[in-house]
Parts: sequence; C-alpha cells; structure tokens
Amino acid sequence: MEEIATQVQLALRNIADMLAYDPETPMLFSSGIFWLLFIFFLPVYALLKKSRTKMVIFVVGFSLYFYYKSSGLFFLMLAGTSAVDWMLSWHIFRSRKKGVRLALMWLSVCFSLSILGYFKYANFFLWNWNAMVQGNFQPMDIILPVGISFYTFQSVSYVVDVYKRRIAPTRSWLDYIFYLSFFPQLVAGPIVRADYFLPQLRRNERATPNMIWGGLWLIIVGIIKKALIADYIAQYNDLVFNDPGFYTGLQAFMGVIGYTMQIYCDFSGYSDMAIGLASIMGFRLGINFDSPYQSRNLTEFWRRWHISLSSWLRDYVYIPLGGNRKGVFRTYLNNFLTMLIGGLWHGAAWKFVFWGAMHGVGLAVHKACKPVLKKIPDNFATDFLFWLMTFVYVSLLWVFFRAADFQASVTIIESLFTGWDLREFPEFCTERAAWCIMMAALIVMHFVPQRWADYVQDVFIRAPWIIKLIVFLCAVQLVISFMSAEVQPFIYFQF
Amino acid sequence: MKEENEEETRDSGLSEYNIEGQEPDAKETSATSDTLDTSEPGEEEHSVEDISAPEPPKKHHAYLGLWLLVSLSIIVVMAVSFLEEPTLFGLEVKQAPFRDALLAEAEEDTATPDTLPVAKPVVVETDSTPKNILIFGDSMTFLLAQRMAKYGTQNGHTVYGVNWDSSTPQIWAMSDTIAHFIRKYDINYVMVSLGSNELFAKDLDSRAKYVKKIVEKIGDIPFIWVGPPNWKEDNGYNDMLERTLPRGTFFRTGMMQLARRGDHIHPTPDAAVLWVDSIMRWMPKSAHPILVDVPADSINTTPTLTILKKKR
Repeated sequence: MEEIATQVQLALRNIADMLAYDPETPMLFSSGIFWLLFIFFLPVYALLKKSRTKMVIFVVGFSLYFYYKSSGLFFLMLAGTSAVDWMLSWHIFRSRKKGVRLALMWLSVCFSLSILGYFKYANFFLWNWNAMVQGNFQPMDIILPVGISFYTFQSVSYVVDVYKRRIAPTRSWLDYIFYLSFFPQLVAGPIVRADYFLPQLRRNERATPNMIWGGLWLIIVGIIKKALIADYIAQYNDLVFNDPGFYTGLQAFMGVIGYTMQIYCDFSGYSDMAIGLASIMGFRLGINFDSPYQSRNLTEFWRRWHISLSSWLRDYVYIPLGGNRKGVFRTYLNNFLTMLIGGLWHGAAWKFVFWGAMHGVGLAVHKACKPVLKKIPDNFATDFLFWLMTFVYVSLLWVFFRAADFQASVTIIESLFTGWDLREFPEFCTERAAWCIMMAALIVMHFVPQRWADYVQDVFIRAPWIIKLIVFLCAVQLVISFMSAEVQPFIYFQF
Repeated sequence: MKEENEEETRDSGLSEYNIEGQEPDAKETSATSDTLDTSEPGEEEHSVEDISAPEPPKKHHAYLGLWLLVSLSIIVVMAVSFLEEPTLFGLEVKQAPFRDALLAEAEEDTATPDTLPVAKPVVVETDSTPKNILIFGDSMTFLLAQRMAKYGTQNGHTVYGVNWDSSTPQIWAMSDTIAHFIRKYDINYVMVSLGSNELFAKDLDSRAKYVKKIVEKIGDIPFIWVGPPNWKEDNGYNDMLERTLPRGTFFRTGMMQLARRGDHIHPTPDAAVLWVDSIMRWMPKSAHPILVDVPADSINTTPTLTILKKKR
C-alpha cells in the first residue's frame, strides 16, 4: 500500500515536471503530454462553447499556457505586444487623418518587426558586421521564442488590414489575442488572416460532426507525416547532409530526394495537425499545402507550397512593392525581393537568403518564358518534362536550405554527379528497406488524385466509432514503433 | 489599365488564395466598407460577411465520441507501456515511454553507489593474475581485439574476440551468445564494445533495458564496457550507458578525436591502437583493473577472433 502511494506521488511529481516549461521538450501535437492535456481541454471547451466570452477566455488561457510550455516567460511578451498592437490598431481605425494613421501603422509594424529582428536576426547582423569590419563583437545570448515569425506576420497583416480598412479592429483585446495566440497555429502556422479567422470567432459556431471527425482524420494524417515518416527518413538524410562528400552518387541522390520529401512531410504534417485541431474546435484554417511536388512550374509550386505564407508575402510585400504594375523589370525585381525576404524569414543565415533568391530567379525566369511556354503543346511528354524540371530545381534548392553551409551544399550537389554505381542499389534497398518502402509509399501517395484522398477521408468520417478508434490506435502504435527504430547508419560490409 | 495589372498580379509567382471554403481574394472580399465596425470597443458587435458556411450542426454530440476515443487510446497506450515485454500475435509491441516518464525517479534519488557515473576515479587494487579476456560486440570489436591481443601477450592474458557486425545490445541481450563464449573459453574478464549501431537512438530507456540484460548475462565476471566513438553528438546515448552501467565499468570514448577510415565511422588501424592505449591508461581507474602494461613493439600476436554475421 505504501509502495503504491509512493508510486502515485512519484507519478504526480513527474507529471508536474512535464507540465513545466522545458526548452528541450516543447509541446508538440505529436507528443503524449499534449494528448493528455487535450482530454482535459476538450470537455471543458465543449461545455464553454455556448458562451463565447467564457470560451475565448478559456482558449486564450490554454494557448498562453501552451506557449509558456515551449517558450517560458515569453508568453508575457506575446500578451504584451498583442496589447500594444491592439491599442494601436484602434487608434489607426479611429483617426481621420491619413498621415496619423500611416504613422501609427508604421509604428506598430516597426514595433512588431523590431522584436522579431532582435530575437531572430541580431546575431546574424552582428556576425556579418564582424565579418565586414573585422570587428570583435561577441554574439548575444538570445533565445528565439517559438513561433515568433508566425505570430509577427499575423500581427503585421492585422494592423495593415485595419489601416487599409479591410477589417475593423476586434472589439476586445481578448478577441485579438485569441486570434494571435490560437494554439493550433501558434508555433508553426498556418499564418491565418484576421479577415478569415475573426468572422468565425464572432459567429462562434459549434463544430459539426464532419468537422470533428474530419479534423481527427487530418490529425492522424499529420501525425503519420510528421512523427512517422519525416522523423524516420530524416535519420538517413541527416547522415548524408552531415557528412557531405563522403557518399556515392546514389547515396547522395537518395539523401537529397529523402530531404525533399522529409521537409514536405514535416511542414505539411504539422500544418495538417494544426488544421485538424482547429477544425475540431469549429474553426477553419484553410489548406496550407496542396501536393506541391505535383507542380509543373515554380509559380504553381508557390501556389501549392505553404500557401498561407506565400499569399502573405504576395499581399504584404510583393503588391506593396509595386507588384507587376510598374513594368516588366520591376515585376521581376519585386518577385526576386519578395522571395529574398521569404528566404530570410525561414532563418537568419545566408543560405536561406540564397535559397529565397534562387526561387525569386526561378519565378522571374518562368514569368519571362511564359510567352514561349504557351506555344508548346500541352501533352503528357511536355507535362512530364516541366514537372521534372520543376522537381529537380526545387530539390536542388532544398540542398542549400538543409546543408550546414554553402560549401557543404556544393559538395553534396557535386557528389550527385560523381561516383554512381547502380549495383549499389539492391544493397541500399536491402539495408534500408523500411526507408525505401516509406519513400516509395510517400511518393505514390503524393501523386494520388485529391479526390481519392477526399474519398478516404469521407470513408473515415462515416466509419463506425470503433473503426475510428482502431485507425487512431494503429496510427499511434506505428509512430511509437518507428520512434525507436533507426535507419541503418552505415553498411557494414568491410569485414 | 490598373485593374488589368492587378489581375495579372495574381498570376505572379506568389500564390493567390485557393483555399477550400475561402474566397478567391480575401483582400477584395473584406475591403468593402459594410464589413467595417465603426463602433468603439465594448459596443454592440457588428455583422460580418460570411466567408465560410459550415454545415448545420447535428443534435448528437460528436465531442463526446471524440473524447472517449482519445481517452481510451491514451489508456490503452499507457496500459501497454506498463506491461513487461508485450507481444501481439507473437510480435513484440513497442511501448510508448509513458511508464518511464511517469515513474522515473529524480537522479539524486536513484543514484546508488552502483549507478553513479565515474565522477571520481575508483581506487581498486589491480588484479595481477593472468586473464582469459573476451571482447565482444559490434564491428569495433575487430579493431579493439587486434591491439588487445598484444596487451594480452605482454601481460600474460589470452584474448578472444567475438565480432558481430551491425549488432546492438538488444541482439546480444536476446541471444545466448555471451554465455556460450564465456563457457567455451573459460572467460574470467570481459570487454564489451557495443553502441555504435544505435548511437542516435532516442528511446534511451528501452535501450537501457538491454544494457542491463547484458550486464546480467555477464554475471559476476569483471567487465568493462567501451563506449562507441561518436562522429557527432548523440541524443544522450553515452549518458544513458554511463547512468546504467555500474560505477567504474564504462569507458566513454565519445568525441575522442580518432582518425577514421573511408567509411567515416570506424577508426583507422593506427587510431584503433591509440584508442585501445587510452582505454588501457584508464584501466587502473576502472572498477576492475588488471595488468595492462604497454606491449613491446616486437609483439605481433593476433587475437582468436570469431566473426558472426547479422541474420538477414
């Protein structure tokens, strides 16, 4: 009896530790602790949903806790900056003088961007400054708050939209912080626009069974993509990218293709989970990835990849820069600059800038070639050729995105063209069978028509409860099984 | 003209809205003045254009079904995590780390003398009697055994190596290979070289289970465990070994600078010599020191080596 009491006490203490802020273990949707909390969150949310105010207070509290679990006391910064932005947005909205409104809008935007700039880019700036002036500044000890890039973009779009009178400010600060800190999309997007999200909050409609079970399906798909596929195939890809130049052409090729699929599963898997959770709560966030590797040109790729980010960049960078209204050259330049900023948004390093710039160049080239491309007959062969060119270009640019530095990227790309020996292929498949099967399944699934995917989702939604339970349990068990499995790091045939 | 250009803007590389249930251009949709709320904060809510139209709710409560589903799933996964080596249709069922997470004791509570890391050297008298030494483990064993054979000749020990390519502690823990070779060669000293093939494992608690089983299989025979040489930081694997093994039995190779062969993982023969020499220098501080004087250059002994192949 005494032993049981001790065990219970120990378990309670460990649960308390798990609930406390730990920078090493942010709360991910695929983690056990999140689902433990979710079973407490869900009934309370369902009960409070009738009263909009109570529901908002509860969700804001939970969202801030969610943020605290990942970023500690930075949740106070999120609350504080949201209060400043909300007050400024009201001043912008009420003011009749255009100059004042413009100044306030810039004040708010600069305020948000300066916080992002300090946390994300200060050391990058210092590093470059040091390199230029041969200075001796030490990098600052700065912790990057989780999700700051996402919610900063949301707050900027909100304030700009209020300034442009596309939307009105929210009635209360609580509504605004609900929008900004909504936990399903707080740490990794999608970047939801206020004009899309706030009306849903105002209506406060209850989620339909279709939304709830459809949301669960998206969560299952997201968990499989993120926690099963991406995390598993990453192990081999990491080996290739951590040791550039060592691998043969085939092995490097597999690593590059592997990373191309990994980054898709990682990003889109998390987005799926976020969209699914929001759907369960009765909110629609839209889709964020639409089979991007099916694209036949770069323009199409950016319409399918991280849709919420690319549309944000279009509306708040590209169009304000002049879009395509100021001549051909400016159009190309604006495309280029927008993608450059998009690249820098992904991370404070020159490799991201280069990655963005090359996408900008690719978009400009595609735009320039459009008149010629229109004359080419549209058939399977040309479709395949354009798809292949786009896929290769995108995959090669992912090398720059992932590799440690520019030199490592070049080395990996060089190794793609050297040391090919197809006799390695059977050996590769034998040693990394699970990796190969997963990649093959992933590629096939990516090219499955959307209507098939919709059909499967529909079947799940209509399935009896017990089938849903089995499917969910199978997905969870698959993740657990592969969580502890490793890709064979090296092939041991030397002895 | 401007309108034409704006329309063309949507054909730029930057995507336009094409989200299910969302207007093609939210900017234009919401820019109309009738969507604006001119009321002060706290005033009556304004009406907003309906952007998405969710289907009408049904009477029954899907939340209850979802809550039951998630709760039951968590209970099942938790229950499985408390079972001892669960199987389903004869297959091992991997466990979520719930049990370990819930019942993990704080390090300060569990640090018994036997599990303390080697913070301070262990002072144990060196056993100067000749030993039958068994070195077993993964492909690193081959390299270690070459140099150890020379140490054996110099110090009167006999060295037997059992090299199982690509093996992990789990394979050794679940087979009777250790007992077989201990009996076969009448072993009275053991060196383990395992961990390279699961260096980046994340489920450390379940790995620790196999390490403990190997220690059990070795039984009362004095042993040391040579940790894997890292080529990059692991996820705590070496820390796990240090925590799990008895004090003074773990040699942490870790990030030791070793020249690598072309495969970038195995040390070169010269580096393996330096590696073994480092282990032997550490030997007097271990829990089970034996005589390990540096072998003379003239010694050219090779070990008795058994090469096992992983089942495919």
